[in-house]
Amino acid sequence: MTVPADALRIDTEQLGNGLRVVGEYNPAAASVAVGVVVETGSRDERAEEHGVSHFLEHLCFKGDESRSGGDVSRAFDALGARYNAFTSEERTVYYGAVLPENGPQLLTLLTAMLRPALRSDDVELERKVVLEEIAMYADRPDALVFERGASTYYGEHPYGRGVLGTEASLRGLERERVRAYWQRRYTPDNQLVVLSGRYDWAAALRQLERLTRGWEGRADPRDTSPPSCRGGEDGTTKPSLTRAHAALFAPGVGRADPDRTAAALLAHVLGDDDNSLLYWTLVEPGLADSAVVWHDPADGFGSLQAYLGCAPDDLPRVLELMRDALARVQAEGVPSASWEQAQRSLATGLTLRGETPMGRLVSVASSFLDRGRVRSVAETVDEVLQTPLARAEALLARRPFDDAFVFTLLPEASPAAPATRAS
Amino acid sequence: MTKPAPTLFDRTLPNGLRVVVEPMPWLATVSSSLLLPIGAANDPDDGIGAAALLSEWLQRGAAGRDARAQAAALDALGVRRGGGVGREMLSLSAAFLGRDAAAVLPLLADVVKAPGLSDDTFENVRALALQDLAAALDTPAQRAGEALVAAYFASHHGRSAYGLEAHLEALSAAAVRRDAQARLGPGGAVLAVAGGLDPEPFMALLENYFGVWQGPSRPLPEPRRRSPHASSIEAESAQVQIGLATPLVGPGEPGWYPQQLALAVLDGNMGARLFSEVREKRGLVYGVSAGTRVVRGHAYLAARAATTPERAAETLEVVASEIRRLRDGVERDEFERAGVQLRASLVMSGEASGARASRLASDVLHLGRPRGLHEVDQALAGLSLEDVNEHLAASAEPTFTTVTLGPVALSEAALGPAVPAATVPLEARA
Repeated sequence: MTVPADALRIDTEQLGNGLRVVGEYNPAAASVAVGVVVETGSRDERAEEHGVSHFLEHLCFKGDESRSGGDVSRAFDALGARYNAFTSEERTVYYGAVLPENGPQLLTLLTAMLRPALRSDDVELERKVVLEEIAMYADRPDALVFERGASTYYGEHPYGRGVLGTEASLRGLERERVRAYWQRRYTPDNQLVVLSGRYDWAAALRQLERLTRGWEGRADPRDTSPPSCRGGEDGTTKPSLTRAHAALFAPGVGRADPDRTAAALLAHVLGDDDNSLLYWTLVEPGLADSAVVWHDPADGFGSLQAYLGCAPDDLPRVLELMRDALARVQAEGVPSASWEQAQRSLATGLTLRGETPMGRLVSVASSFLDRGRVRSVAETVDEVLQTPLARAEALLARRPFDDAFVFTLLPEASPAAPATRAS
Repeated sequence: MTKPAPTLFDRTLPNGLRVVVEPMPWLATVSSSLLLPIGAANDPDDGIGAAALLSEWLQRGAAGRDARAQAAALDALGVRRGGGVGREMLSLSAAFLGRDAAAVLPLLADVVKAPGLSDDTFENVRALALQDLAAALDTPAQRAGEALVAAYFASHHGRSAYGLEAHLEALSAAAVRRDAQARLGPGGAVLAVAGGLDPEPFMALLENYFGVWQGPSRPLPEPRRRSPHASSIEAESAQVQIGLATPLVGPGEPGWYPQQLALAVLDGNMGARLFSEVREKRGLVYGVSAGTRVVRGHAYLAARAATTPERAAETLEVVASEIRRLRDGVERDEFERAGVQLRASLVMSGEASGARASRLASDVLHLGRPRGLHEVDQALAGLSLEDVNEHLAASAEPTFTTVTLGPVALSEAALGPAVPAATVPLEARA
């Protein structure tokens, strides 16, 4: 940004009830984005709670004791907010962006949502909506192959259970069960309020003190023990498909690992949309419509993941080419030109995302939660540009692809399909 | 508006290329959007998919650099690129740091001025286009989207941007190259750039690199609609995909702004009617939407929903009745929420260079000129509830083209009688 770096200001505070608040103030912004990150997700669910984190996220939009679901939606709309929420294995995030003068009202609304009334009628109605969401993803083979693949790869570890839950698990989520999970996980010490853009810090803190007075409780620490993952191949079939879809999982590094940036760069070199190793191996020759790699850093461990889509008959060859390409990188390393290209490309992407307060919000939050400190766009870009290739070589020296696991989804079982092989 | 309204620089170069530049001096980044009037709608009749092939082929080298050298040159400058092809437009977008403009712009210009289009890359391009077509057909939502457009248009706008399998297989490198020579020109093309740039020197760079681009263009056909009808496609899927389309007032016509406001009442956000009636109150769907789409001066509303089979008929009925009910007018509180939302969203779109560049390019395409944020804001601010309701009262009743795709064919009762699809002129809409 041409906004001088010293014009940006980082604010951090912790309230008496344990709630943490961080901000990145940008006087040049035309809006303010506000988010609440609850450090809970599907990996924090007990076996009988499968899907509850995401279900609760939906139910928070159904209102608190003084607002109906319709009231909440209309209140957001009346502020001209862009808003939504998402749930992952590890975090549930509620967020919105408005013009600066409406920031305080947005903060009121977001904090009110997190004390949901959980009325029975709303719970039953919203259950239908989530069941439709589950059905929607069942119709998307790229999502389905990851859901099935993760459950096979991570085995009994909670990270392998899908975020949405299953039709059966959703039906078992009674209102009282949802409330008990909320009480256990939505404690003030387990939440972070994030502000980005133009806001009044002192006023926001005073407002939050008032809004969260009486919030109490402490969350149990998360069980961060890593999964014991399997290698090899496995798969399943779905007769209505016409294409083959494959998901690859290999060991990566955790959220707090200093090599997290190197892992993201390595994934970029291996499987960015264009000009990556897998692009030239599989997409450019027209063997696959898509071959992308990314790094998914989790709490305590991480994974490199890849998605492939191709014609069913080509799958054995495509998988072999992919495995060969990854093995070659592991043996021979990353060419320095590819590394520098990935650095520049990632740096531009970060700068672009940093143009808007909404684009900054999740980065500000993750930077604070994962590394204990908010890093500006400029600092993050510098870190990307200065990460030496030697860090990627250190990651590759652990031979992550020796243990890679591939899960395939095919129209039907064929002699070539890994599903029928011993794995 | 918290910043002074930025000035727009709008020029047509002697070769016919329309160039629009909007400085956003607080940004380091610059985004560009180049739209060329090349798409499935003006593909040769025996070469449906030629635009899809060309779009991919343009990524495979330019000005003597092969595909890898071209990609390496762009990546060395950290250029993020995107694009694709639709029914009317081939788009090439890029984002980079403003300080690198003098090195990046010649590389971007080479893609259209001196594309490689070499024989040795063509078979890979064809294979990938066939893969993309097959992948699109593997997702029910995407299939239904294609089917809705095909059912709505009688003109070539109903063609899939992915092309036809048989044509993709039959087209030769020479044929696609000839086709490119006949329509890869600057006439009718728009290049919009927004971000951290100094407008006069930047415009000079654009003139320097894009001004020497030459070549003919091919006109796009006039859109024509099929007569409204309903069709069901059987497919094995967990959900039934529902699509409805009906004409709207076109951009630039009187009534455009009141219509935009009314459509925000219908589907602006979670407090809007569609979300509220279909999801919030009835729990029928996870996703429901109704968006404005524009081709060559014609606008239409495309509404989409997906639900499990036993609830498909009710979902279709509720979506259709909410669209019809708009003509009865909107309430004051709805009007106010929609206005605030559209105006806030406008300000926020002005913070991001990519959003600005693509908005400027689509303005030129659909209105013949770019609009500054201030102009749109003034137009929205000037609307009264009465303006919106008068527009709605005078608007024509929706005439739906309906498509469903899923495990059950919806009964006639739900879809209405199946009508043979004759072609009607689009002006039929009052």
